[in-house]
Amino acid sequence: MLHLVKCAYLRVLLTPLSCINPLNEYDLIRGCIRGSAKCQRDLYERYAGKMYAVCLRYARTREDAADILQEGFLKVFSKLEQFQFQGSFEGWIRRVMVNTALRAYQKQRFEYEQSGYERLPESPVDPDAVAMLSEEELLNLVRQLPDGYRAVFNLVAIEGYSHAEAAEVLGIQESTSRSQLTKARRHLETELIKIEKITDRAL
Amino acid sequence: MENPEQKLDDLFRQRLHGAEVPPPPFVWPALEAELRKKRRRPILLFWLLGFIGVCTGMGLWYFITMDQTSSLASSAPNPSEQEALGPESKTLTMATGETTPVPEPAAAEPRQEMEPSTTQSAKGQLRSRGVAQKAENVKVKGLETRPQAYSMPESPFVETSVDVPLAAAETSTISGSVEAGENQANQTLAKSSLDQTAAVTLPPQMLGRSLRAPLITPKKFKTTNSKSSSRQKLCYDFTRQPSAWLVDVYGGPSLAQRSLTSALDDQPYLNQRLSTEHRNLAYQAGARVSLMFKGNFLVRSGVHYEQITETFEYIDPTSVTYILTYFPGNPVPDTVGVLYGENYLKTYNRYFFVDVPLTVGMEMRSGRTGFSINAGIMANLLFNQRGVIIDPQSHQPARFGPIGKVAPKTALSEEVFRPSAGLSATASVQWFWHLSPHYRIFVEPSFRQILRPVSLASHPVEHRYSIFSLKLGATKIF
Repeated sequence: MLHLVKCAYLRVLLTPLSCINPLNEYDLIRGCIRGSAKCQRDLYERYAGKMYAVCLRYARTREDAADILQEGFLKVFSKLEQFQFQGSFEGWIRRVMVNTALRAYQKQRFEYEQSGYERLPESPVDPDAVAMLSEEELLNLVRQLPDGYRAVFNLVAIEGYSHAEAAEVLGIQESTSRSQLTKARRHLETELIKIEKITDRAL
Repeated sequence: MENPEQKLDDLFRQRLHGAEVPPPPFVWPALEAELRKKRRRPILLFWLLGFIGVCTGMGLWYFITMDQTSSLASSAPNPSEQEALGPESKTLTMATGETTPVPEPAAAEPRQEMEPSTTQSAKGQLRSRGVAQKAENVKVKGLETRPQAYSMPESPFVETSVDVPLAAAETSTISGSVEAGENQANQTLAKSSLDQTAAVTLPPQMLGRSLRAPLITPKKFKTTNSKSSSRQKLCYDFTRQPSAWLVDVYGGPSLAQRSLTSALDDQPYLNQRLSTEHRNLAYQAGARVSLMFKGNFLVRSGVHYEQITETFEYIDPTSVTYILTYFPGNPVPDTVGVLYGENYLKTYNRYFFVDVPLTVGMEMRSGRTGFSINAGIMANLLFNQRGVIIDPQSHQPARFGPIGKVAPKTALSEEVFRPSAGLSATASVQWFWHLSPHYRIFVEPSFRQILRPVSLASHPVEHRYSIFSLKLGATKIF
């Protein structure tokens, strides 16, 4: 027998706001290593939000970001024994996610050089304009970058890699990394200026 | 002066480095399914090992019982021969058919006292063909004279029909000694090669022969014979008729193991399919005709019906509502809640198979029970499907097959499955038990692998099935 279509099905999920107790984190990790389904679910719920934001910065589309998130967490669960409880666990997961995202990026063979914005903007970007934007909008701005610019910008500007490290990870020259970053900044500034002008006109 | 470019980097880093965005709801179910697969693989391995162990145990049990049955048959007398001779037969004959040398009796040996049971058995032994007529006047101490047509009283022993080709000289010697009386009877007993009992002194070679070829079987063996004969009566006698036709009907539950792989490396679509479609019930039924030849070998064919049901459950992932709270002085709101919702859809996808199996097998029997091993192929005659699937282009639910309007029909939703499932490989082990010579019931775990995907090559996801079934049925032997 077929079930009837249900309309307007709602489910509320509250994001966790509490800080992580280091002792609970240890038990959580040990539980995941043992294969406890509940611990795996808890770990996912704690870090999925932040890691999805990381994936959104690297991926072309939301679907790609979800795909990278799933693959990244699979790697986290399978390599959890390698975590030595030295340093931040969040940082360890973040590195796994970034590596997964970059592997997906290299698999898709993005072209570095796309229509770039070579011309410098006429005026510098107002920091307040950036502050007015939501995280979602900033993520969209980053996601709109051409693929090569986006990877370098994420690694160097946001993650804090050096150009040498980013070049090694991406398999490019250091000079290419520098030029890609510059082009990424130009692109972002152009977009931010557009948004600023639109906001000013609205006001 | 601060580098403006560096400032831009810092702004983005401060806002985005610790940013948090709730992931889509279908990510965790797909992830959980992958994690469960890894946990389940050892369990499936244990089941497989258990199945192999059961089959091995059944095979060992069959061979062991066969050995016991064959050893029992060699020691016990043949009941058919017993019946043929009839109850009146009192002939005592040797099993080996050899003539035994009659030992010379000791000249001064005193007459031995014999036990009543011994004397009775001795009297029975004297009823050989050669001496029957001469036994009228035998007077052995403790024995009564019996007429020629003597029927044995109730004796703990049952006479068996074993021919004794005595030499003519021995016969005359025995007959002569019978006439003489008591001592002569003793001598005859000593000379007779038919004596079984240990109470009478016999040369060792005769005792040895008696152990090898028992002439008298105790009554307790009668009970065993009746049991084995009753067992044999309940079984079809394939030794007399090695060829027979068998008709089976069966049914039972199945476990359909589905495999979805991304043929065109379309992982997001594959994830959607994995998260929306889940396994449900499956069952199978059918009828088979089998030809048994040479008593052990089978060729089977028939009609097989299989139905697989899966649950389709979908929540529109693009419909996400964030509940934000603005705090004074902070232009960036805090996300305190997320609503996932709208367009919840749950329905059941059904896949129907009608196949013609063609298998060969080998049957092994032990009494009323036995087992057979079968393997072969199945050719699909009919493959129908109906249900809802995620459209590969729109990523929304779309219906296929004759199902109600629970979801729209799209150009691609009807181009998912092949018109026929094609060939399948199948194997099974059947354990049966005879209710009567012509009827038996069976339990048959079986495995079926549909050799090619049930989805079209143009579909981005490859859809395959492996099916484990348990057939419960009955067979009539013609």
